[in-house]
Amino acid sequence: MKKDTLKVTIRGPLRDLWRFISHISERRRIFRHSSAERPGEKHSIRLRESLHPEVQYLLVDKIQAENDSTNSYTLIPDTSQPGSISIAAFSAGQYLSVEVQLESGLRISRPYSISNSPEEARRDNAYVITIKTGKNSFIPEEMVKNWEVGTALKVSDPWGQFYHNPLRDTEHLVFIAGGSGITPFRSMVSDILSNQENISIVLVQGAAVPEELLFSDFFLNMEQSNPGRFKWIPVLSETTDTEGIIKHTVLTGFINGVILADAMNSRESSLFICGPQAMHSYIDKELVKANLKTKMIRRENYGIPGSPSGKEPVKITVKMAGSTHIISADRDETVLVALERGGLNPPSRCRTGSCGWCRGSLLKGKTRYDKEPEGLRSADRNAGYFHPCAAKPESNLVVDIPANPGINTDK
Amino acid sequence: MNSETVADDSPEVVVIGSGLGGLCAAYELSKKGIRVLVLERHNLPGGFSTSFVRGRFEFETSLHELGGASAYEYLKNDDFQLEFKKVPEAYRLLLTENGTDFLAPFGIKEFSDAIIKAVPGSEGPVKDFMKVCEESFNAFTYLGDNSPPDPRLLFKKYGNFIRTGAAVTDEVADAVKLPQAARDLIYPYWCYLGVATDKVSFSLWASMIYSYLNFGAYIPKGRSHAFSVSFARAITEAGGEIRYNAEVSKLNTAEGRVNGVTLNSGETINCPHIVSNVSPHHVFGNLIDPAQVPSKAYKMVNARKPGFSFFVVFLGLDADRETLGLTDYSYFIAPHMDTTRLVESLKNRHDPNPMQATICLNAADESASPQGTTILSITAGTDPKAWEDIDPWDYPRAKEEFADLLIRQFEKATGTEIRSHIEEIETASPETFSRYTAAWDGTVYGYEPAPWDGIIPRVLADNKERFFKGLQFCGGNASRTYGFGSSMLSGKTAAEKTIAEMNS
Ligand SMILES: Cc1cc2nc3c(=O)[nH]c(=O)nc-3n(C[C@H](O)[C@H](O)[C@H](O)COP(=O)(O)OP(=O)(O)OC[C@H]3O[C@@H](n4cnc5c(N)ncnc54)[C@H](O)[C@@H]3O)c2cc1C
Ligand code: FES
Repeated sequence: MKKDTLKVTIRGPLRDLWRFISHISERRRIFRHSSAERPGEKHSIRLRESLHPEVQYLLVDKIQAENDSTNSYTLIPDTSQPGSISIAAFSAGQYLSVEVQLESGLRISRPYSISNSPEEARRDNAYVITIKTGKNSFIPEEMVKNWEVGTALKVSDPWGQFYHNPLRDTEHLVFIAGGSGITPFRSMVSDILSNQENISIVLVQGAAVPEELLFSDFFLNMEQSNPGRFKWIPVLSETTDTEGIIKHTVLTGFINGVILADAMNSRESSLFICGPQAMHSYIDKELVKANLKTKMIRRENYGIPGSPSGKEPVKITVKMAGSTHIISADRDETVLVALERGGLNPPSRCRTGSCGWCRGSLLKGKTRYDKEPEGLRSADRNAGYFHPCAAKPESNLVVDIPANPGINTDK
Repeated sequence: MNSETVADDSPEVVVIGSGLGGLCAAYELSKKGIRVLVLERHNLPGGFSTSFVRGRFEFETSLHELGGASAYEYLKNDDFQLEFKKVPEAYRLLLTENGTDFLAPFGIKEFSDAIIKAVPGSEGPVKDFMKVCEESFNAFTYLGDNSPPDPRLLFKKYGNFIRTGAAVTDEVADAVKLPQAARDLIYPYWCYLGVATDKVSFSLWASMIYSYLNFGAYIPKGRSHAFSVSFARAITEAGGEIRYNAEVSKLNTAEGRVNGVTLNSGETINCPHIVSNVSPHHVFGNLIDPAQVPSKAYKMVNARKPGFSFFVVFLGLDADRETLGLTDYSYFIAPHMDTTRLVESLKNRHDPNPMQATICLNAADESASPQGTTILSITAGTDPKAWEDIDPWDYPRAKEEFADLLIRQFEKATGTEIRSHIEEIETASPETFSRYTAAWDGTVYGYEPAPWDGIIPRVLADNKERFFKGLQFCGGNASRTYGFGSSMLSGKTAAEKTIAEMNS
């Protein structure tokens, strides 16, 4: 049988055998002749560290009022911190997670979209974030109350998938913003109009009253200097009187199917929607009603609704980094918020279920999602892992939550 | 707020890193009742073995296929409750310069027959080549089961294994007179080893292709993240602990033995036994106090070459496979199959004709994405060095360009149109891998398996290359080399060695 007689040699049987034996000692010879220097990473590490620093130490450099309840903050590197020289690069549409310590001593972080464009940010070595405070926004109010020029902040690396991609998106883009959801579009409009010649944009901006149409001067200006490429459609839900505030035609009501059809203009469109959960739901219905087909819809959700209901609270037993804590929670707030109120400083970024940063393990009890979080992995779902930022307690819980690694630690 | 701490929870073994190697080590140890603490810097288990979600698609981060029997059988374990789907064929090869379009089936006989049919007159050499591969595979199995081996039996029964044991793949192909046209069809798997056929240890190559072709390959439901989650669950159920967001910043040693670790948070955990899933480069280069590291350890790591890396384009497409014309699971597309030149092209991000290995998950698992959609992931090798000169502000553009090139190459070679169907797109580069796994220099594999750094020399030298008592390595850099199966099972070996050390 051939099977038994096959005899392959490379350099002749004896030399092959010798080579086999010596390739072990060759290893030792190679080791002996190699460098005794301590090795250091050379290649992708530099890119990784500049794109994704573990924390950015920034200073408030300028505060500009956009309206009564909204300010834009210019943030520059705090050069008194070692290694803090330039801001990390980002794509237009991404956000930063900003950490603060409240007067009560609680440490929390909140996401804010970057409103200047990468070009502007790079030129000025500064990010701009725009924050709305006021009613129903307990945390932002508390957060920015004491901010002044020179205030030092700890901020995450730029994060999020809410950005334009020419390989995926159509040449006609429709941007839909509600309230402070306009912030990423300030960056995207500026970026795309100056760098992607073949792309046209219609921006539909919803607000209650004219004063809340943030960046209106900027968009007016862009419309005038980019005829045919950029159209701005402001839509106001509470008033029709824009005299002396907005020098532009303004629609009234909610952003409906007729407005969207006009914005899409019978062209295949990629939609970008950013705003509160209620607006997302409303627009989804309007798209169906008006029978509008889109190439794709990319969303940024500005928070999962939920506030204390006053119902009988539940008890959450939290295992975190080797110790156990017991906190009380409201059935209508998210587990993440309960953890924050309990002083546990849990990790979070997007706060809307998609990034997975808050991922934990539900060991006992029941939670509910108003809407299944988009980012939850199927194997995680099956094995009892959950996203606390989107989950609300239905019963007493036992959960295992990782300690906060990033911007909330003092090193 | 109440806080309580549990009594004696100090671990007997600390595992640094929860890649598949670390998870498997921790699982094996905790199953034996040993108190294990796994420390993971990321907020997920698995390292490369995970998934991520964009819109309505859950993408596989890394696994193309789990080849060979041993890893598959290990994972069929009742503790894990995994569900698998069989990969339909080995690969479809498209060589654009000479128009080759070859469908390689699984099964040694089927595979050999297909090659012989495509390359008339190659029957003898093809059969001989596959036979030497089989013998290498069997010899490894024998070595794995018999330690120490019987040298006489080894020489008698596995003579070809010994004679080719220090050779590179091309030398064996030359020895059996394998025609070039047949090599073109057999060589594509080189890209799963990442080393050209004139440099790669033949015995390693041979046992890989034999085990893939002979047994076939599988993918898990729930992506490879299901592996990681299953391990994590099994570890905690057996009494072990896994801590996420817990980056080890120091590995503490004294008088030649390890005695614990310090975390980024400043916390120190004392422990006499450590299994490291992170590379020797990182352990000796960054984690251990330089005053304690013998120069021999530096020489050892410096001599070894961290392997290459990948660039991946993940695509969620808004049409089903039939509409798109994506008939196959695994597409290997290259201008030619001269592996030396293909490796050379990895250094250049702008090379217009790289090699790509492209997977259509739905061809193995129809339910991999929602009805009416398809997942396609295009992978090309790339040298981490090719990414070091990029300005961070131009990085998104650089990724777009590379992705654009690969999509065009795929469409042209397969005659399909996918671009207008892109609903989700994500890309990963060496930077991405470095960020999520902290792999040395963003490489995706462990050390390159040159013949002197193949499995045999690694296994034989293992005890001599241990510079600290109580420290074992597992994962792609360890003795079994890389890939899902090898990295994982190296954890079992590390657990066994740790137990032996604990008992000695
Ligand atoms: C990606 C992203 C980008 C964003 N970008 C911007 C932007 O550019 N500009 C902008 O203005 N907004 C932006 N937002 C929205 C902004 O983050 C939220 O609007 C804001 O953080 C919501 O604050 P809140 O206090 O209303 O709700 P949360 O901070 O979510 O608080 C929710 C609940 O917590 C309870 N609570 C928490 N702590 C306490 C406590 N100590 N005592 C009592 N009750 C407590 C409150 O009662 C409340 O019901 C962004 C959001 C996301 C997700
Ligand atoms: S914070 Fe992003 S998923 Fe919860």
